[in-house]
Amino acid sequence: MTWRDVAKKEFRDAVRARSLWALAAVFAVFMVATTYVHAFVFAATDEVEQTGTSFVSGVVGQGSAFVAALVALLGLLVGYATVVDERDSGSIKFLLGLPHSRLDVVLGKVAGRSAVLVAAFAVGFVASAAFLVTYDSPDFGVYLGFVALTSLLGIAFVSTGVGLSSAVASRRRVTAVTFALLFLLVFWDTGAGPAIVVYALTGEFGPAVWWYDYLAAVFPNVAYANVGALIVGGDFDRLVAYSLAVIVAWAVVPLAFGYYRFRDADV
Amino acid sequence: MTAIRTDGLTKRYGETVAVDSLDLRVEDGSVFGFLGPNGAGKTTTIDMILDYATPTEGEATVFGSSPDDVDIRRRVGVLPEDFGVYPRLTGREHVEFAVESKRADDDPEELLERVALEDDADKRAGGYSKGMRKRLLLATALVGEPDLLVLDEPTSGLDPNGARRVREIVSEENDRGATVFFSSHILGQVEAVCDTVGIMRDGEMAAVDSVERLRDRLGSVSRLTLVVDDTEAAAEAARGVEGVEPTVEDGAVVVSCAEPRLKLDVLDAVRNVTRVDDFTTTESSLDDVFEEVTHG
Repeated sequence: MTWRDVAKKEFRDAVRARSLWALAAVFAVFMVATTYVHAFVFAATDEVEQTGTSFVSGVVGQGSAFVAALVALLGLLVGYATVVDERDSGSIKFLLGLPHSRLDVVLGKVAGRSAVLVAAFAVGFVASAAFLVTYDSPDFGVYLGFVALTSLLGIAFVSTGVGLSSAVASRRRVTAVTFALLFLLVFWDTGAGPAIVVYALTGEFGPAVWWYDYLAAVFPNVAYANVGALIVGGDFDRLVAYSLAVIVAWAVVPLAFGYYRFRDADV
Repeated sequence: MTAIRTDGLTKRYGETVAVDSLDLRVEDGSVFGFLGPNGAGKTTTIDMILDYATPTEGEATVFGSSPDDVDIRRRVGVLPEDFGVYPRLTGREHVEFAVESKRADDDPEELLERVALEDDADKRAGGYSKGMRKRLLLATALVGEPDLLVLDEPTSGLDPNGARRVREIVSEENDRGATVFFSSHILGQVEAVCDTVGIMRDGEMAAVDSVERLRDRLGSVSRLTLVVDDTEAAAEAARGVEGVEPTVEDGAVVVSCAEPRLKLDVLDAVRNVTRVDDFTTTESSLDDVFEEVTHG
């Protein structure tokens, strides 16, 4: 297994891309803005006690649609072109001419690009933590849980992106598929998607059926909010376990499909 | 031991047959020149030998193993034709990556010197010219003293000095014991270094032979055209050189030489009898070779 060598190469290469640092800046601005709003604007109303927990609760609760969509966008951006671009440029022939199996290539790319995403996120996480110190009770434990969960979500999307990138042979096609997926993610999170499915299957409106929450959480951005509730003190119930499994599945299933297609592809 | 072996190797793209039932043997320790015009199926064949592409039918083996065997690739150095580099990594980083990937212990500096890239080693490969990229990939191919080098058009895009350096490296590697599989669409690039030449045409092997035997079959390899004061005297003098057959065409003397070095002998002989105003030399193009091999 040589995936570590591929991951190292991938990290070294991607970290030098200016677009990556633009991406890190976007996330950092978002994190700082959110922390700032929570700390000063809400605090001025004196209605909410300022703690790390209330902050995380706000971000993964009410703010989850926005955070998760941003993480999805950034994660997919980091992953979606990585294999296809190597096929377009021909560097895949250099890579596969060395003793790397195609599985090593795919796994190495997920590992390297995930490290890149987490490095980019780290800027925002640290900036946000600097604000957290000014809170009455920073609750760093809860905040670390949030960092871990958000990173996991990001890695799931990097992996999904690498999976899509491995599955198709052209940049144009992977771009189309990735944007279609992003649209579907956001659409699903509004509740309209699951509502339509429930109506189509049962003729009933809205969350009348017991499995509605499970259906809503088949996409990792929705599942993210469910697991977030656990971090800020909720119970570890069946829905939380399911949601965690969903996030992990998005890290594994598209990648397995992509590898299956890439394994025998002509490059 | 056979370094590369293909049996009925076939690749079809829809209706198009790129490689048609190819049976190839490359003996261990040899330098095999793989010739053919662009589009003959050389790169497709190499793609299947290196597991870049899957054969439609038949199979290829490298040292008796399937091309997708990763352990075999540790013994193989590869310079593909339509390769790319990582634009943000330096030349040195490419070589280091190859050394780490092959679990070898080569000194990257030494390999970069062999391809004359030591001065540009710390620049990003994105700024390299086509020739520099080719030399960089050649350096990575040499990592780990491979038992087999597969070089697809290694001299195309290089200046004459670079091409000569490539041929020197091929000879050095072969002296060390490596088998070299060297493709080109130009006969002159391979004849000096190859023991055996295979000529591919329309997806099939039109001829496989030693360079000497092939040259014998081809007859004339190079042509010398002389513009002289006295064509009759010049033709007579040229006839005196063994192994050449001069003719007079359009007021010039045209001499076909089986051995390239005979051209100088002819030139000297002619200059003794008359004034030479101008002379040109042409090597047989591969198309002429094909005419000879496939229709001759």
